[in-house]
Amino acid sequence: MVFTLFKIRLKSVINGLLSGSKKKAVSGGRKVLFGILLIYVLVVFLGLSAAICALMCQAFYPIGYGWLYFALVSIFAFLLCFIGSVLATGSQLYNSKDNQMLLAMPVKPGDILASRMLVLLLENYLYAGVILVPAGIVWCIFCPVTVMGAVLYIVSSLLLPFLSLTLSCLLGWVIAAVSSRMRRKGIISAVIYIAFFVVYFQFCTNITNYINDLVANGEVIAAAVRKALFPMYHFGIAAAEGNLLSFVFFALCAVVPFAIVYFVLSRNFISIATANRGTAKVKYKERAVKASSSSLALLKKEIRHYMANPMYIMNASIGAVLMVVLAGYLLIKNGDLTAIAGAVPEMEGIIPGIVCAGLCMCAAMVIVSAPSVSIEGPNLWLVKSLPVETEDVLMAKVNCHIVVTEPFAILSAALASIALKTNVLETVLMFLLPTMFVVFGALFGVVINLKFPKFDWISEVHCIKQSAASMITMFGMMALVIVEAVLYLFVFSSFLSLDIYLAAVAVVMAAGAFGMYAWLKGGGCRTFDAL
Amino acid sequence: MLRIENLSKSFGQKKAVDDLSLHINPGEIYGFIGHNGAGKTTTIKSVCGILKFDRGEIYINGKSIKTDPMACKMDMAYLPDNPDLYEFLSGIKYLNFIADIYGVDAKTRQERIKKYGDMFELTGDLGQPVSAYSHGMKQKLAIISALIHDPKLMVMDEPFVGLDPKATHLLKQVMREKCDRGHAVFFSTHILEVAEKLCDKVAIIKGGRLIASGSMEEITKDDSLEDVFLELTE
Repeated sequence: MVFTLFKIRLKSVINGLLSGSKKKAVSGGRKVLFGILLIYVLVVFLGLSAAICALMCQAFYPIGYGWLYFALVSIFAFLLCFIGSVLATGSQLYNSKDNQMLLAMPVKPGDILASRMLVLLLENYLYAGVILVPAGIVWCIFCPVTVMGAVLYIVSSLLLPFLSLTLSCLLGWVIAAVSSRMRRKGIISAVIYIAFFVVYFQFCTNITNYINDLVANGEVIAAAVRKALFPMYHFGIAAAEGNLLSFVFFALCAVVPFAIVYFVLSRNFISIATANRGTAKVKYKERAVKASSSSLALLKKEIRHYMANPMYIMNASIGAVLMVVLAGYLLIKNGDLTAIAGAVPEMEGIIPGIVCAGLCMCAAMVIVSAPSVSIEGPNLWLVKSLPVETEDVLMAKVNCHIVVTEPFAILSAALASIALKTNVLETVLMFLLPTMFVVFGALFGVVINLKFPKFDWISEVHCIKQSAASMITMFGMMALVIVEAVLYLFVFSSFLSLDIYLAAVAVVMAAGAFGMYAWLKGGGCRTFDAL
Repeated sequence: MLRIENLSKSFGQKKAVDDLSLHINPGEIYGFIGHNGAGKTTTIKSVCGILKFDRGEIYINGKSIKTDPMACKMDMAYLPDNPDLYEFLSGIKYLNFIADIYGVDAKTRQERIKKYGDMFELTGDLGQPVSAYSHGMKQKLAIISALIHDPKLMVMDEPFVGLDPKATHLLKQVMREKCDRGHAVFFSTHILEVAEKLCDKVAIIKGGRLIASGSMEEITKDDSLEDVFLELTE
């Protein structure tokens, strides 16, 4: 039974990634496209991970702290698993729409829970693999490897996600219970998540400093890890030294809490899944209502949908926050940049251009419009039956993306311009180029979603986080920034100044945006009408 | 008010509606009955401009849904069989959204929200998010939203499902009042007793084809609607 439920659940997740509308089967082209995307993501993330691991490995192994390397690797993997799954856990385990249907069938609640946990475990393995696989390979390259150490590292790596899953199951439950009682839960949850992400970003940008500190204060840090993070300490000892006792200790730390959490949750699954966590009843007080135009009403509806769902805000708008974080960081660390520019004369004129490209990369990560068609889901009949032009419906989705992103682009451009003391042309580009990316991304998201719609989702999370449209839009936009950077470096840098090149990019982006707008007005409307 | 001429719609090889023609005059309550999968919802969705159809024409108040969908939609309201509404909005925000789309001025919408909100005992819950509503409350909200622009034609798919007896009675009353003012109502139902008592005319559909239509007296003669329906759809 668990396996049957697991298969259905997994199929739903995979379908969420691959399939379009429920009327169509997954085409070969879509599979190829998804495969290319997957390879692109793997190469980028595995490469980054390998680079950081190599840095740590070369720092720790020579001073006899091999175990600390593995301990830190396990901490990073644990954090990535936790961040990746904690938000999805609540919706997948406790608030899934098919909970009540399954509970009405002769299926043990524990089996339903186990099948859901297995899918989450699989997701955790993917997250953990991004760090643990390159970490293992890097260790093999730079350090001597024992058979026992390798075996224990592999088995410990397979057990590590149980730790994060245990914690995310518990926290997911708390988040689901607390957030469902809050009004404005979308914004509150998003603020918490963003605060967490800012801390994480700060950590990542300072990783070299931290590693230097770790090396300088190795003994102190090692003692702290040994004391406070003992499962990770034993993970490190088991992998680095092939210590069987430490492995057993780590395995117990990973499996026993998981078993307890599973036991407790399966016992209470019915009450958790069927609990009415409604918000406190708000008595309606009659007051004057305001009329708006239908275009404004559609835009307000889109913005309210976006604001109401924390998963939507967190997954679609993290790039907007990163823009401000990047610009704020520049403002604070202005002295460092001046020093770099002074030390490397070639950098002097191009730092504003690089920062501008960085802001564009962040803007490219915003995918508010990418799931906006799919997210209509069961409400699609409403916009189709109402007397509104399809063009207005689609443009409301485009405009929502722009309205919720552009203030961040303007703020970050202003901060960056102040920090870098840019000249007039650089300032104009600093404002113009990220804005062009915001507008381009808004149109691109809707175009891609019309090509890859998905309405048979169980939870909105599926079409926001796991749909083909969201992934293609995000990675497509990021690839666009990379291609433009590569083109400059290898083709245009020899005869064009960076400022002129960026201005040309803005023109090309504007032309592309206009092309997509023209398509949305014609073919896009027809595609939407046919959905 | 509503003229359906030779409507045909297929899904792949399956003909959902086959050469269906119906005329509904102002002031009429027109019932649409048939087995599950007979083509009722497909017909209704085609009328409302949700589904594109293969052949035929649909005119609402003299305007074609094919060539002038906006004007047609302005004149009518659609109530689906399952009220999937915007759950991220509160009841009042949902009604305001619908009123904005139909261009209902602030004063009129306020009056109608008050009138129908009180009538269906939903006013006190309008501040709640739609996600907190029961099925019946969502159905009531959908009914109020359908009435907010005082449509000339109401097209409803199983409107009584999920309503409590009082709300059912009130909806029937509203339907009759609207028709007395020269508006028209076209609705599908499986509750034949309701159709028999409420409708001026009735149409029976089977396998996508219209097998009977006319005034209640013409269709039933001396039998009950249930007997006639069962005999015709055997």
